[in-house]
Amino acid sequence: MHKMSEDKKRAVVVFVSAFMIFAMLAYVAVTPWPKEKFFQLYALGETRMAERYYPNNDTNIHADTPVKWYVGTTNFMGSTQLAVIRAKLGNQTLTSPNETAATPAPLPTIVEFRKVLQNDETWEFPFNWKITNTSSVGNLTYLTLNINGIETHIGDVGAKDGYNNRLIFELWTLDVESNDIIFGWRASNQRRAAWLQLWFNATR
Amino acid sequence: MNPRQRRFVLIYLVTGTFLISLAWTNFSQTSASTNQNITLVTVNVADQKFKDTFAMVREAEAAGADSEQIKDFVDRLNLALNLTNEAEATAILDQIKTEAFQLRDTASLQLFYNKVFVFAMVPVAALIVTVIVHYGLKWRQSKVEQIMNMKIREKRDAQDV
Repeated sequence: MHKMSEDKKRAVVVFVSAFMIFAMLAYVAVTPWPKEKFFQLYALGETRMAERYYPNNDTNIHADTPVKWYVGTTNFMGSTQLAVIRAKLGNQTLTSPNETAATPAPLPTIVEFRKVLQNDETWEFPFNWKITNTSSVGNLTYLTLNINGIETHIGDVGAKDGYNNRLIFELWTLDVESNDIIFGWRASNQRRAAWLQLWFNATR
Repeated sequence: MNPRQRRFVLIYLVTGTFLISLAWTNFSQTSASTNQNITLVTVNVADQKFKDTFAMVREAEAAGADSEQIKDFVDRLNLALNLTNEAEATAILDQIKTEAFQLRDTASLQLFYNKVFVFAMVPVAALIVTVIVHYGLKWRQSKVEQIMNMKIREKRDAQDV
């Protein structure tokens, strides 16, 4: 039987070992690492920091008093995404969005902002608003808001004596799987959601 | 066939099978993303067109398209989103969709070639390492032998040095 010399045996061992190591390295090089996929949603005050959300730090907002916020979102989904931020007006008793069930607040959208974001891109926009008018039916106060120059009367949601209104911001995305705009986003076949709210009282 | 030829044939068969299986995996993945079914939802034309275009851009991105090219698409998609003239928006979306379609195919092919190249380099790199190790050890062995074969001579005077 043909016998391999020591040199050849060693060369075969080295070749096989190097082949396995380089094959593993090649696999690691061409395989994308799984990353956590999520969005970040935030609101900032007029100084573009997490402070001074209300004029004079007073949550009682008078008619025609301008309030300046910045709303932003960052895409960490690992791919291009369509981000839709819907602003809604709620009161103390109406249901909030549910993160666990990924259900939005059952309220009409007052205004909607849309932008396509690349991965790791942040989109921040000013949200300037003021109460331009209030109307009362019984003890409920209904508001007319001017948001970024557009006036909207919110006739569906009233707050008792104008207290405990809240502006809710919900993040919606275009889900390529269902080809529909969904509340939150889908990551690893699970639904996730992000929303935030800022409370205020409408005073005359 | 002598044993050496047999060994070479065996190594090439193993390497060849490895590359073919890689190519098969890659092609099946590409075809899966290409044939992805999109459920149509009844919405207005511009909205549906936007969704289709967006899906195509996502496919191009998933196929490994350059981020600068994706950024260009994203900028134009945002432009189309903000246009109130539907005809103008539709024209932009049509153009993006066509370009994204081409880019997806190009990027997909490029990604496949890159993968094949990376895996094809594996036996080459292993061979280079083997040759370096082989000749490195031979050189070291020859140095050792050189030292071992040295003869001890008596130093006679300063001129001998």
